[in-house]
Amino acid sequence: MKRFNALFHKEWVEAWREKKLVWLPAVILLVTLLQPISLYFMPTILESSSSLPPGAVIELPIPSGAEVLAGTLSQLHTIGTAIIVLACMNVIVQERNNGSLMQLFSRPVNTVTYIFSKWTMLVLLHLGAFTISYGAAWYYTNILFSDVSFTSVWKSFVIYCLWIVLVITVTLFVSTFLRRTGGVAGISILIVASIAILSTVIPDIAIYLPSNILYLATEVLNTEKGTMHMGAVLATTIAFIALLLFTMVKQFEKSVKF
Amino acid sequence: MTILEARGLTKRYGKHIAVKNLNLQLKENECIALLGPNGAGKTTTLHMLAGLITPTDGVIMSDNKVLNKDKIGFLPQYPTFFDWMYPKEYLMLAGTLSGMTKRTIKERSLRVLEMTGLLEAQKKKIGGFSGGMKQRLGLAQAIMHEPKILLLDEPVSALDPAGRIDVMNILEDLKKDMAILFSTHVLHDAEQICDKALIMKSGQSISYENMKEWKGNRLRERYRLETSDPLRIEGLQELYEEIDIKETRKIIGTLRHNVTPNMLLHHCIQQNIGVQYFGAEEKNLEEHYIEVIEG
Repeated sequence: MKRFNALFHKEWVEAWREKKLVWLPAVILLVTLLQPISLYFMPTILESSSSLPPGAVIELPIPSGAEVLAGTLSQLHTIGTAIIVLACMNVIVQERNNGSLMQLFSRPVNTVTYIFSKWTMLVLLHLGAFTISYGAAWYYTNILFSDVSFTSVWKSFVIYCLWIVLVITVTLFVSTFLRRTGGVAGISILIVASIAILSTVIPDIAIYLPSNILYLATEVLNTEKGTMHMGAVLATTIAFIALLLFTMVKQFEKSVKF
Repeated sequence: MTILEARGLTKRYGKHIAVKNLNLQLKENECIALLGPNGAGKTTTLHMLAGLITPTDGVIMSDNKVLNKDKIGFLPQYPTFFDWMYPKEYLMLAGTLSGMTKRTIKERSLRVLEMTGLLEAQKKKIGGFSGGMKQRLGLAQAIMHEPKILLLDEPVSALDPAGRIDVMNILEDLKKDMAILFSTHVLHDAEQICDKALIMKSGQSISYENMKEWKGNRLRERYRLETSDPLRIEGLQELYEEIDIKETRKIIGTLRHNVTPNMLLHHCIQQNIGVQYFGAEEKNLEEHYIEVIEG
């Protein structure tokens, strides 16, 4: 535990000194807030773009708060996922390539401790950033549009957190196989995108898979209660994350040749 | 007591054999130099001993037990740290990973920084360190937890001459407390501080000598003769039994059985050859090394 704490602490200090602790939450906040704010100002933006003939009347239906938050989540689902991959692609690969990993492993450190110190830190950092951003989005939605109940926001938050953890785990998983950050980012995004695409390729099965997380989270917002497959989706996601973590540790032990 | 023993150590990468059937014994407070050309397998050997890679074959033991990483201090050839850290923070991390308590870490880190001459660099981030300073910090982290065995991969190759002498003095000092095995290309250093030298070539040990014994074993002394005029070898062959180094103005070799050094000197004077240097000489490691590698 002492070793885990030492490595875990190192991760946080590193994130602070390299300012990841600042830019990551800032970028995610920006991406999240853009949705409610741009939706609110949409009529004004359209009017001032002046490409419309004089006298044209724009009538946009005002979306409900739940719809706005759902839009926020799908915005995060595309751009946010890419940001998470970019923020995580370096963490193992860099230490492995420059040799600092080897120096650490000349001491009695085991792989599980090392990988979990990184994984835990990244999960906490991203979930923290997501909490702030989603909270802010909820606040602005309530002010600018209609109120959304706390329970439905809370439920959708918890469901969507699993997606974030999944993306982080996939990226770290690929990091133990490849030595180039570009490759890690590319393959991770490919894997995450394939998971997401499953819901259109095999919709019958995908309702039980992590592919359905976004749909579940938005549905909870709109209807305030989940569908019957919620348990299945959460279970497969958690199982998938566990499997990735397990394989990652095995792979790291086997093939990391410093 | 044999603190580190390797028997039949072999490492294969596919078809390439990096290290083949290497045997090595390191006793307490002993210092062994690992010599050999680039690519001879020195680094692979050290990595196996340090537990960073698993050997394809062979055993590594300490005192007839499985070697524990706690006992080892390791300095890689290119020590790498986290650039954003301060030296003390790295030592803190290293110490904690090696299971030291906070209090001992605090005392010990000051001590090792002092030993390696880094006390003044404490306020600087490692990213701003020069190559030599990183090498020193590498040594500091390797001895941080007071290991019984110190494995160093070319500890002096990145250092300037003054730094090299510093590091050698530190090692000389450390010899009292731990056994040291280090690879180097600087044969002079190996000769100065090591008890034994292991010479490797293409993954195999080709010479494993106890330096003191080997020096005492020289049956007859060798004499070096340097002159201002070119020497005629034919005349000298009557006096020298064996000439090891032949240049026009410099020869080193053993004299024939009944020839005294004075006779050699007399010979030069008779021939009116200006003598610049004349003296008895021990065979040095460099000659031995060249002999073994080429032979």
